Amino acid sequence: MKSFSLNLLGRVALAGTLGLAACNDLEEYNPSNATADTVWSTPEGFVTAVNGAYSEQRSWYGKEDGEFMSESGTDLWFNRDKNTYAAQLTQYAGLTPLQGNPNRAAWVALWKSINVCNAGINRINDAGFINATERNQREGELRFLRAFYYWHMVETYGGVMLRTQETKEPVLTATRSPVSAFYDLIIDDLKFAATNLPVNWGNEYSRASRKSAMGFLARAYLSRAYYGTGADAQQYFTLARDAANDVIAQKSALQVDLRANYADLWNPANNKTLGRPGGEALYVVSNSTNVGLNYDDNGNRLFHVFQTQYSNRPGLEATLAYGYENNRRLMPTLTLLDLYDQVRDNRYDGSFQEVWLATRTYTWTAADATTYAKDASVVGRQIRVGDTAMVITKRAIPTKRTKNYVVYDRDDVYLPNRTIRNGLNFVTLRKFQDPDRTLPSVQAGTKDVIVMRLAEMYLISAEAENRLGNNAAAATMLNVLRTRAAKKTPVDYTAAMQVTASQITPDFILDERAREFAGENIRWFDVKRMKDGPGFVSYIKQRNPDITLVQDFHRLRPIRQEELNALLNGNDFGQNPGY
Amino acid sequence: MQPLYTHLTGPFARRATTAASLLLYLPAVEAHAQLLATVQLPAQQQPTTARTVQLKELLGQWEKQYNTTIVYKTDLVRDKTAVVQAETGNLEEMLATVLQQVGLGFQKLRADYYVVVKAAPATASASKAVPIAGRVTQANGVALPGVTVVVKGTTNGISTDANGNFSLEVPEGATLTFSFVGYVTQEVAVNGQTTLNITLKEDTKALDEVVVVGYGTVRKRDLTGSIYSVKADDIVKTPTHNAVEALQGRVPGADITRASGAAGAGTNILIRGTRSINGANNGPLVVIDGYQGGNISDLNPNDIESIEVLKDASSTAIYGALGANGVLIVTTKRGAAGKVQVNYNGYYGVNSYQFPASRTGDDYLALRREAWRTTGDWSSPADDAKIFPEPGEYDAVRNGQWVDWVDLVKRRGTQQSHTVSLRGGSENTKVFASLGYFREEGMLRNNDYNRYNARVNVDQTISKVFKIGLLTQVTFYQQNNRQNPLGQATQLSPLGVPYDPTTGEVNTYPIASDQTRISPLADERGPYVARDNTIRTNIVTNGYLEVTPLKGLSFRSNFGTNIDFRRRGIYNDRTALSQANTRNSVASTENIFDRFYNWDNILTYSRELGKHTVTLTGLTSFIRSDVDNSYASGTNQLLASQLFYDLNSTSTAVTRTLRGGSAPYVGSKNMAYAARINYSFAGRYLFTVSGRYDGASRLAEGNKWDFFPSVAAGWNISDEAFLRDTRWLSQLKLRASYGKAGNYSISPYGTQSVLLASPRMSFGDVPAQMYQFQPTVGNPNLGWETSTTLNLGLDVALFSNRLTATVDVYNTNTSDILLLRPLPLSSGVSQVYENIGSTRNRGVEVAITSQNIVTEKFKWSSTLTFTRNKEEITRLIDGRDIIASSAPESNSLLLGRPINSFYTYEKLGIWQTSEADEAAKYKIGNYSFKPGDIKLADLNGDFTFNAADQAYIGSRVPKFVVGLQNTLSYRSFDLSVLALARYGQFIDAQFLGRYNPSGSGNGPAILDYWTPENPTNDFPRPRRGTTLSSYQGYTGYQALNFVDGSFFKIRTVTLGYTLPKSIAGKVLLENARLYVTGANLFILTKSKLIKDYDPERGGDESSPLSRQLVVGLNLGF
Repeated sequence: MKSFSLNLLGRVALAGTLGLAACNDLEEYNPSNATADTVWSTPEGFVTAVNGAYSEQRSWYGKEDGEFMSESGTDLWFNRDKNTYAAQLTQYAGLTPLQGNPNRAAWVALWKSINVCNAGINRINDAGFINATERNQREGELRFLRAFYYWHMVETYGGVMLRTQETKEPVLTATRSPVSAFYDLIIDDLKFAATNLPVNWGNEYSRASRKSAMGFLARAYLSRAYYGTGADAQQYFTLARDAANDVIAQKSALQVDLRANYADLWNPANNKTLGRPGGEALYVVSNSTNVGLNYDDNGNRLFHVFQTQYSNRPGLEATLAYGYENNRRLMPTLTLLDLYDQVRDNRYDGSFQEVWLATRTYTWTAADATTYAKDASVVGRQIRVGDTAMVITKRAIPTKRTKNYVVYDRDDVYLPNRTIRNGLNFVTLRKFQDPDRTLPSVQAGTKDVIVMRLAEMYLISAEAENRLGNNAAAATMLNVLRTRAAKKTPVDYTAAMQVTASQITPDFILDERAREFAGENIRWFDVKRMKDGPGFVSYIKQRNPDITLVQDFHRLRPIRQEELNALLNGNDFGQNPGY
Repeated sequence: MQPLYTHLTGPFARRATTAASLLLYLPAVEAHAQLLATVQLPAQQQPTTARTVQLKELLGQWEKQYNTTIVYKTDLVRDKTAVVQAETGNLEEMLATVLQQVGLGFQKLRADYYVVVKAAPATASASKAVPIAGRVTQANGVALPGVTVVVKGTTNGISTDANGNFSLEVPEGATLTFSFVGYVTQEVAVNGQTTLNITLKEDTKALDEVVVVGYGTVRKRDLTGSIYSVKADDIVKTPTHNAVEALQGRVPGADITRASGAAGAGTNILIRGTRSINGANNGPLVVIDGYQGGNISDLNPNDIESIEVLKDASSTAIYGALGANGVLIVTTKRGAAGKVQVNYNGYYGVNSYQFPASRTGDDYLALRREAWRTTGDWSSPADDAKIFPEPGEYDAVRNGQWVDWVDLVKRRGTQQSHTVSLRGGSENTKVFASLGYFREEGMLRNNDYNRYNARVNVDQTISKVFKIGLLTQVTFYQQNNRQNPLGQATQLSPLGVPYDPTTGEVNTYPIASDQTRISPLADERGPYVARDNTIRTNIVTNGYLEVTPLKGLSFRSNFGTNIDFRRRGIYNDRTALSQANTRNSVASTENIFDRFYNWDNILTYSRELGKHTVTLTGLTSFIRSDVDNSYASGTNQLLASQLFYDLNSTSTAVTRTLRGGSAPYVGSKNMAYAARINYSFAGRYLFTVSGRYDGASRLAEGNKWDFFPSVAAGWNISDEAFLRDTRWLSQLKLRASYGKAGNYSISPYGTQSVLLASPRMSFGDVPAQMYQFQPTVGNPNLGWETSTTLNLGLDVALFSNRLTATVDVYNTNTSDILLLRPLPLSSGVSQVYENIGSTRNRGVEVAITSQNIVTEKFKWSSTLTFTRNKEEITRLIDGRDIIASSAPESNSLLLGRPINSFYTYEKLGIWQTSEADEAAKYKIGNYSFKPGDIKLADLNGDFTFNAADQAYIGSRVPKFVVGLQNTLSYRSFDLSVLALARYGQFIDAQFLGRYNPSGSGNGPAILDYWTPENPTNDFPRPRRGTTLSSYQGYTGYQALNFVDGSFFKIRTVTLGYTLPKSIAGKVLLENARLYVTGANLFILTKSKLIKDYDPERGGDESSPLSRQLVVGLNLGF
């Protein structure tokens, strides 16, 4: 018995040991194996890197965050009530490295994207492209995007770190690079992109194309010029003008053109045509009507940002046509509204909504008459569907007490010192309206966001000409846009809208940019580009008297504190001045 | 003698003041005892003819004498004696007389054929009372006072006096039970005797008790490590579905908190603090019946025989890497030879949330007015219309349509558990089987948890050499979760009409004219609005083969499998709470198939050579884990009633994604070789040496293997000659151990840079596949994290084990900590695993158990556990704090502080009107602080607030945790009370951050805010149009959430009643007990801000903890 057991035991033990010997192989098995080396090693796989590089632009364009970063805190906008998390940017209130979410989120999104671009650009030769054109197109997209992100980076945060390599292992130190080095890279990337990108991507129209790269190159040259002086500046103003003029000259080859009527740009029905061949946009960030493909289910939410409240007024209710009113992030300053000559310039009516027509029948009650400061005579009067129900206007309406609709005129919205009275009702920027949602309460939109359109080339050209001393040429460029903007009926104001060389000043160009681009994710960059130091502060305070806390160092945003905490040489690297 | 009370302190005082036995020493009581003695009846004279014989002999003698047959079961008559009064006479009369003396009777089956049977109970009551007296002594002849002497089966009894004497009247044929703590209980049949002198034997069972250790067992007295054992009785004292929760407050060194109040929620357990910084692997290893990979929360607590908590390095070293954070060894119940035992355990309970009420009515109106008053927009109620500009709001105010949302979303939850278990078997086959059902209905509607368990444990002895066994368990559960509505309920303005007055149905929009303000009740409108359903089947099948060819030599092969399948389906209709913004429906299904294998081979050899005892253990252990995960989702499901079932009917092609870091396949393997030597000399000197060579696949090439040794020694001092005769000292033992353990607390593939795919990309309407970098970048150099622990322990038992104490002190240094380190965000990734940093955990653990009162009628014992652990980060890469990039307030790592520390501004209060000038000196940008703003500590004195003013303000780690368990029984009643204190920890009380300074939503009503008329220091002045994060004067608002979370609570109170045997027996019951338990009945918090909240939860507002009332029943057949 005993020997039998020992024998058996020996065999069991042996079997165990043999069985286990195989287990000493502790290699990691990772069949899904989604590493950069594997996924991006074929041309088909490599496209997923290129696509990934586009992703984060959607966290800026189409979101409140982007509007706060690139439009608020300027002479054009203020938020009175629904400022919540963004007061740091809209009012410069407590803008610190630790607070101010849109600013802090932007830092992360930009760097995440730059890392993907760097990875793609450095890996493209290992992706096995056989077709050189296809390869260069993909590299062109990546280099366009890197330039696009770096332009936002350097204009927002200044000369921070300039990274051109993929992060393959921890990078714990950083040094600052001069702004000029950023622009050298941006311009180099855009030149490559302009040479190699196709004119047209077909149904994938929102990929970067040649017109995108050429247009952005003009913007980059112009921005770069302001960091130089003397001949250096002149050189870049010249390049900016030439690049802008080049786009204009080649517009038919690039399949881009100005839309005949300014207001048509902002007709929601036309939104999806702007980025396609023949549209006015040089570059768009698209959103799919299939919401599951969009950045975060929310797509384009810009229609929330500038919308005043209307739905609880007599004769009105929430409708798709009039939009989503709960956020009310930004209202126009009196400065902005007064920039327009409403009689001659169709851009005011094209950009703003002042009248709301009734969507339900309503009969005035005494209580509502009191609430809306009406004359007793309106009690009992009716508003029928289609009648005017509400007017919010930059004009003064002396007879407003006797109107049988709600009126908030200039004096109800603004105080005599041009500050905002209570911020509850305001003229609404209508550029981003999205009535193609399923319900008025749906907060997600599916419209495309125009990042840059051909009109900007005329303004870039004009601004550069002005700086180069060619105001006549500048006027010519501006007059193209002003001709389009002129009301043609009932009176043709085209002639009256024309400007001459003597009228061209930097401030006039800034004003013209406001009239043309109000709300289009650019104002803050325009103001910071053209207004330096004390000029920046006085320009904003004077034109937007509700902003009292702006300081000259606010021309740069603060770097997130976490970045400096994580850098081993965070102290040497340093926060942007003033913060 | 009187001053005795005042001189005594500590455990002696407790003993003197509480132990009834000791009271007998006092003169007054002694006098009483003597009084009793004087009334005893004089001993009766025995008739001269009487003789005492062995019953068996007598029956045999009578069989011959009367030429008849008397049959009996051997146990009935074995060792029984009878007093024979008459040698001849009527046999039946004589049988009756003699058998009655020993509680027996007989039946006449036919002529000349008698069967001896147990007497009917009635005969006892009919018998007359006889007096009996005697003396109880110890083995050495010293009298034992305070011994309980009771007539068996009754409550009739008395205690021995100071001289060990007793006397009482007993029924004829009675049996007396002599019991005393620390001594073996003795039963003696009176058998007509009038004097009984009894010697009680000391009970050494407590020390001979076997304790389960890693890959084996040892006698408790031979233990060298720090192991704490909790038995079945204590585990079922807390009615819960999770046995870990039942350990709360009972195990020194373990800090246990319930994870949340949601149905089926788990528990957090930390053994001796947090060692690894990366949170993933800080929990202890759980070994169930020798197998890894099981989940304790899948076990029915009623199936558990014992849980051993292994704490020091010498106990855990045999588990190597896996044991670095302690080990829980769970042993389930096994079959036993003999009569089949059937048990039923069940309870039913109701739970209710403890959560601060929210603002409504005038309280809310006041806040709103105040906010608009601050900005100059409100001066009198005439302005009220202006301050409610949202559609329909002002109408609701005028109509008094106030809603208490928090109250509306809560309901009373219920819990019930039913378990039937069966235990039986023969010498060779032993079976334990159980069926269990647990159901919890959460305190939010649509939140419930149903669990079904079945377990069969079979042990089969094949021959003297071979034994096999199979331990299987199947667990099935179904859980319905929901989007937590409490967040919405504490943010929404308290206005509107929550239910349609005619239909009673939930109004999706409580203010009809505002279709954007969704009700927190929106998901409760029907069955197809919101569903989050998880079903899970878990099958554990463990088999073993044990071979014992020679005495002392055994080989055991354990093969364990754990197969787990989970399906989680989520459907949120376009009208659901979570879809309030997008108004499109989303359906998703996730399937996870998890396989875990564990194969251990253990060879053990034990040998005794004279006074030397040696046990050698050698083992190999292999673990493999594979997880498959597939996830699919689609939007705009055609029919809501399809829920998440037919994703083809979603409006777009089904999209597949790798979500949240989970991958389609994750696999890992571990292999280990280990050996251990246990050596004991004369049971006095004990040594244990072990070593384990451990490999983990998830670590980097070249760093996969490491060696983890440990040594330990124990000295049973009380067995030494110089202490052996110290009667009051039952045990004194010193233990010391030192060892090294490893940890690889990273996820698989942590050494690789992995990409994340996402379908969320398109150009126009053309979908585009994309990959982006995961936030974690790979590190190809990752290696083991190691902890070395020095442990010193002392076990003391006094007064015949009446008072026992275990004290451990330890110091654990953990180095090369695997840390997820934040990277500069400019690198485009956010973190990396690295071996950087060290921590130290030092602590003291004490457990004291005292049998305060032990009499037959009344028993009272107490167990006090005390845990103090000081945790600190001793080293970090680059020698400086690591401030986290996300949520730095709670994720930062600070040198010299515990890992879970809070880092933010220090709030001093609120700037008061009288301090206006001082406040104005402080600035943020251009803004100067004003009265009503938050007053912060300006650490660097620069009159502004930035990163330099943030610092450590507190930690989640308590300074100490105390548990006190009192168990009392009186006659058939039992009462146990578990009190718990956790002191010195900070919590992140989220609901405090719900203070809504603009008055746009309700927020908790208890928050007191500053106004010029109300100079509080709690919360800043309300201000129209702001949130806490948007106004400069609220700088430092992050600090508002962090409060001292110290609390004391009565964790559980249980009152039970056991049906007397005499009644229970009539319905064939072995035992029957009915009990009522109240949980979390009383809580005392140090901070007034959290007085309406149970801070054990740690501050989260989702699923707060509950008060619970449970009624339960235990039946044994």
